[in-house]
Amino acid sequence: MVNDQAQMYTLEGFAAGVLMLITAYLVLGTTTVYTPGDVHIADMQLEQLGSDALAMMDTPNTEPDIYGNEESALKTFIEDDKGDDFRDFFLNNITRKTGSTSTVVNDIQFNASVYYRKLTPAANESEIGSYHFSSSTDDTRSSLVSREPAVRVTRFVTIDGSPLNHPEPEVDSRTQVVLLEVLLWRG
Amino acid sequence: MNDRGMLSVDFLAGFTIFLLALIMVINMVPGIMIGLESQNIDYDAVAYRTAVILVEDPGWPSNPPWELEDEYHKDEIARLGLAVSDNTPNVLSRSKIERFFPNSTGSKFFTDEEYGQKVIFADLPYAPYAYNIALKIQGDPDDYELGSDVPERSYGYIRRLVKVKEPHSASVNCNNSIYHENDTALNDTEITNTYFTIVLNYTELYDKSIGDEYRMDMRTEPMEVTIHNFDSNLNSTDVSEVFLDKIRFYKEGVSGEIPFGYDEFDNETYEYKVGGIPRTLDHNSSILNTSEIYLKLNPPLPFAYETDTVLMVNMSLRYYYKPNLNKTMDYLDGCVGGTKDGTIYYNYADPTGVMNLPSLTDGVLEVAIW
Repeated sequence: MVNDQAQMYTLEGFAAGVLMLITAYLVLGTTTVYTPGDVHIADMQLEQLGSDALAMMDTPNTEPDIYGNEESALKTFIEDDKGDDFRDFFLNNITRKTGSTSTVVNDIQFNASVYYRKLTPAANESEIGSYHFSSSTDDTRSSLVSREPAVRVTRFVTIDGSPLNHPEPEVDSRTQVVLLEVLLWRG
Repeated sequence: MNDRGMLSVDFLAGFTIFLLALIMVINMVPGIMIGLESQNIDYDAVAYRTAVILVEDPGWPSNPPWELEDEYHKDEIARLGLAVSDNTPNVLSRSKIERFFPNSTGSKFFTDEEYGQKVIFADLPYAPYAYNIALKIQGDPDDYELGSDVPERSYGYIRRLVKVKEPHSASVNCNNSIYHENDTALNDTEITNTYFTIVLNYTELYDKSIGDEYRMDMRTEPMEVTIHNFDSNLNSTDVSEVFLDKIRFYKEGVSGEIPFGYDEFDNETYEYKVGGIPRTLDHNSSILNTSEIYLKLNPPLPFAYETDTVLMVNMSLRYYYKPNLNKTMDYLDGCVGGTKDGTIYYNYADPTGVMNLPSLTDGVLEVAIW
């Protein structure tokens, strides 16, 4: 015989409680982060390519101490402010391929800047200055805009004095290390 | 109060636990399915890993390097890397490249299975990968290529920019007067005790201030010397015969020649050609009409692991002249410390201007995995 002992008086309340629990569990359990699965791989490939290109441009073909005149191409480009030569050399390098693959997308755009330490920064200014060095198209503003996400590769380059078009007091004339930053994207 | 709309607590508690358990199980189902997802990401990772091993690693064993292992000791090779050393990522060694890729006739030193185990690191036999590894070196007529043709469908891919360290060599032109000596003892008809010496000072060669990518390392790289225009510098009206008796190795400070298989025909340790014909180092050749003498010593060179050794390679020459009072007895002299001192110093300073020092050539390596 059913009596009042150990009974639930409001079944609705209990059912509602269970329902809320289930809902909360489902909502928490099904949170989705929307990331296209392989975007990071394309990024990784481009980043690797860019950093390889900078490293190879910074490696002279013969021992510099023996030959004296043979220096890293990267160093020469920055010292002489040869942004156009850098563009030709860099694009030529990163688009090189073997004959084995024919389907690779090889249209790569870039924008490069040089970061340096200011000689006499104003009191409330940053110590680090930068200037635009080179880009894949002539118009520096349009080349900054890209639809594809860009990756960033950098390399520290030792130069022997101020770059040609950025003399003191802009850039120190002593031997120094500047940071070359290249933004790369498939265009 | 009546009995309607009532539920036993036991039933409710049981039902709740059941429901929670059911939800948990349903939630786990996608996790079980993860292993069945598309393998695209995996292929890119394998391609990346393969390229890193090839481009940034010298392979194992590294000292002596794996490319010196012969057919019978292939099993000792654990990893196939192409880099010159740990310190030179992206700078590849030409001798490793030639060992790794099939040669021009398509024959390979390694089997497909060995490539899978030592560079692709496939989970054999469960997950064999198909692959294509290609290397293009600027100036080379053909690409190096290994594996199957790249398919039209999707595959894992990576491209690495590299430089290739080209081998060093010495090229001696006999017409250069620094190698010549004149004798004024006009009654003599022979010079039997002259020789050409190649000096390899390992202390100079292993100079630590020179990076691995530019260093001449006799432990891993061959020494190559070519002597050109030998016959054209001879005064044919006066010389009746010239012999290259033998080639011998000496170590500075040690008397007598180094024990070596001079009389063995052994392409593994040396290549010696007189006028294009392969000879042993013991062969007594008449070189009156010979233009080119070629000597290549394959690594490791004698005593290459003793960094303070000075190795001397001596080519003994014998000249005979016609019995003519007005002749000039002109002969090659490369004796160390001789008056002309036409010794070939195989080093970076290169006092006689004969060296082609190691240089780097641009290249690109592509790895496709599917």
